[in-house]
Amino acid sequence: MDMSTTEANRDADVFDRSLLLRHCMEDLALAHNLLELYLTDLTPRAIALHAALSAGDRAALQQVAHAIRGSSLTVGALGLAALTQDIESACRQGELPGVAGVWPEWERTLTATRDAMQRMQGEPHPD
Amino acid sequence: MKEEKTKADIVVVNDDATQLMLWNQLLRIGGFTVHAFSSATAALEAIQSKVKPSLIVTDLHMPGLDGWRFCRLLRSPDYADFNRLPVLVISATFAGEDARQITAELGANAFLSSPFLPSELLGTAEQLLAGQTPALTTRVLIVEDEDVVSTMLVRAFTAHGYAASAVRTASEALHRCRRESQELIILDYHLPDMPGDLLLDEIVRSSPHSAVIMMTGDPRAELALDWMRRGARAYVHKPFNPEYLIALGEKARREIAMLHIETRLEERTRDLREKEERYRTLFENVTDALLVYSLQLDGSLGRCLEVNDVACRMLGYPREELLRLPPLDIFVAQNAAETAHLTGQLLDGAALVFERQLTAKDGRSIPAEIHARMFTIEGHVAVIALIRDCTERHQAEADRRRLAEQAHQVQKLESLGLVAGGIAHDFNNILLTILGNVELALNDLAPLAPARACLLEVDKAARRAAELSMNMLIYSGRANFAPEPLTLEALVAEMRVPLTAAVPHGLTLQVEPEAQPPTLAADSTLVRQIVTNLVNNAAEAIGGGEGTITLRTGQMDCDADFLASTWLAEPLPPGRYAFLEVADNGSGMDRATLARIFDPFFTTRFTGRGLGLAAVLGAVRIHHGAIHVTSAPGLGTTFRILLPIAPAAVAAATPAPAAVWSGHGTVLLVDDEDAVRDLGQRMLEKLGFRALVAADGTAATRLLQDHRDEIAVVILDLTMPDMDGEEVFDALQKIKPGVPILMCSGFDEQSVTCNQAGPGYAGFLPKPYQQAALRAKLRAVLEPGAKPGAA
Repeated sequence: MDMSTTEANRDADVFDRSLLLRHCMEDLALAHNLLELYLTDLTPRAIALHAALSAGDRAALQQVAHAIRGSSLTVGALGLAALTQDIESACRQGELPGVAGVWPEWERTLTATRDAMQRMQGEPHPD
Repeated sequence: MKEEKTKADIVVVNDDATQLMLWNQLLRIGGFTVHAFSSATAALEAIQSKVKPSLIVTDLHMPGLDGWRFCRLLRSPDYADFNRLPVLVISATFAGEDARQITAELGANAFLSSPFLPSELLGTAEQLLAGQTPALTTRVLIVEDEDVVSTMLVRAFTAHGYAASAVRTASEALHRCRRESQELIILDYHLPDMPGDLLLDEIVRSSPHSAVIMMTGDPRAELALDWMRRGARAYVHKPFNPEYLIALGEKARREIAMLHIETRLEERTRDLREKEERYRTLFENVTDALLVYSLQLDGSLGRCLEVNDVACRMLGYPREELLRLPPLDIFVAQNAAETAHLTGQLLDGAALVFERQLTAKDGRSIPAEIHARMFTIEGHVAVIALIRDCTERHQAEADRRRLAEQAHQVQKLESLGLVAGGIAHDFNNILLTILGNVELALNDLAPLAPARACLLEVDKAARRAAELSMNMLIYSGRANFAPEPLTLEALVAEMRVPLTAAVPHGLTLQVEPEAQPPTLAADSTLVRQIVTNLVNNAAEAIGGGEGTITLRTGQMDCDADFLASTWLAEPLPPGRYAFLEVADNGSGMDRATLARIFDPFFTTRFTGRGLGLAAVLGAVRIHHGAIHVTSAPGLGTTFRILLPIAPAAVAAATPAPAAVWSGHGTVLLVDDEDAVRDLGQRMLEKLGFRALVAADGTAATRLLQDHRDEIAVVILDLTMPDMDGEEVFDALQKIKPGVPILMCSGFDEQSVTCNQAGPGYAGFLPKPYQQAALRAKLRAVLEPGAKPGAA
């Protein structure tokens, strides 16, 4: 499946597929498996992040942001990694980010990341 | 393709599934046998039983047993078999100098910052398995002004893989320590610019993570002791074998690392314990029930994670049983759409508040207000529900509604009282005219005159009208109340004949009096009215057929529960009460009818006027009594009137039979109603008095001035247009102080006497009055020694 230039540019902002492949030693099957696992975990983690933001629970927010950042860095989801890094840093400095300030951008990035990853998953691979 | 070989067993630990899969796969590609665990607890169990790893790769931030504690355990005597097992720590949180510090503190062998390239992971693993310590070299600083010694030590440490360097002075040493942290410092006691012990103090203060070993040629033991007290980890006497010093250094570093990690662990443990205690205290000390449930991905509730004592007490379950119960019905919505709606709101962070009936273990139904919201606990989504028992609140609301209803009833009563009083005032003046004139006409008519029968019908109709008027006054609480000692038995016996005659054909009136009746302080007129109205009501309830009305009197002990089930004007104390009971075997009433029977003008019968039972309630209220009603459709109705028994000191007085009395002298009659005035004048003249009449206060004062010595008594209407009764009363008393004045009104006596209790007030004459009542009052004024009732 061909990907348009616009889509490719937009994907690159949030998801570095070459980084994922480097992490996987260019093993495309492994990369696809990682993406599947990552996306499966991402939904409940996003729910938990929103809940922590809504509840103003800093400890929970820092915890869930850290978890998302770790796996996002692993799969090259650099957009979400950067956003969760901001949340983690703010929490560590005693600040409490709110839903209104965080969630809209987070949700956009989440959707874009998911779309980009699903596009990659849709591509043919050796398996 | 990858080389098929199995180099070693590696245990990897990470709670994040994505990273765990990547580590696992990369190491497998590298030819290792990998054992992957999502928690350190599971990994610990495995390595103690079936898995024999050559390397452990672990994450730091994990729920439950975290990486810090995991490494601490691997280096503890309890896990001696694993003390020398290489450990690689991977974390996205630390890098650079922090990573060095963490690795040293953990007793780990290597550290990788995440994310990493596969070659970094595989290369580090290979090195660790080969017994090498990659990348993280240990810094050692030798502070010695003798070049021979320092050169020898730098060579020896370097040969052991240390990054060794040397300085000659204390100031150089402090400068170096400030620039980069040193794991180990070998410090000579004799330095050119500062004694070694002072430098030791400074290093211990500014670089607490550095292990310091002192060297000296001075053999004094007290020096060594002093250095150890100041914070040195060890000391050596010159000359010494460099290998010995290196061994000492490694030991000192391990001790420092252990000490440091111990402190960090203690702090973390203390923090956790304090936090747990704080939340546990809060959890157990809130006055409402708290339950925590896990939330599944599909939005349904999972298992119960936590409950507090209040929840156990409220629902009647032991804690363990409550934890095992499936999600309580309280969260089960009516349908799938409602479930989705509730879950959606929870996931949006909304705090839900709703009410449900909960069922306790013993089957009790508990009205509860539930506050629920979602939160995260150790990365998991859960729902916390705060449950408040609303039984008391609902009771309070019901009480408030009842009080408001009572207040409304009182208000209604007052309004009706005003209206009834006003009507009765005008009505009674008319009735007084009718009844008085009928009486006078009958006196003048020959016994067999044809008009006599007509006049008797007029008299009968007027008396019924007077009874209606009286019922209105009684219900409104404005009836005249003149308590006197009496017994219900005597009163009922007296009424037996007229009542029996009055009940319709086909009905039987049975009277069952009390043998030893108690004495009451009651108004006989009002009690008669109660009996009459109840018997009339019973007769109407039976209708046209045959039936029995039973009239009982007696006394009974009433407890608080029984009194609470009665119609009360006010709370009555438990105790012994006299009762008057009227029972019928008529149609009975349903609950809706029963609830309204005392409302004025409420009637279920075509012929009823709806005032009889309302008047009964008013009369009982005046007596501070209560009414107990039992009724059911088809089973008849029983009214039991409870009246307070008079104190023993109240002696029963039997009225003497009435005797004919006539007076003499002049009476001044003041009333603005022409008919009343005219009738009153004629009655007075019949009684033997000379009557002077006045239509208003001005005329009255003038007449009293003109006939001051003749007028013996004044009969004064309370309500007149120009001057009211009070003003006229005062004016008359000024003209002839002490002249007896009988106040006359359609209202009750209390309304009249409140302001006329002073000298001159001779009593109250309620309208409509008849000749007998007028005679009795005048006799009481003019012959104060006469017995009551002996008119």
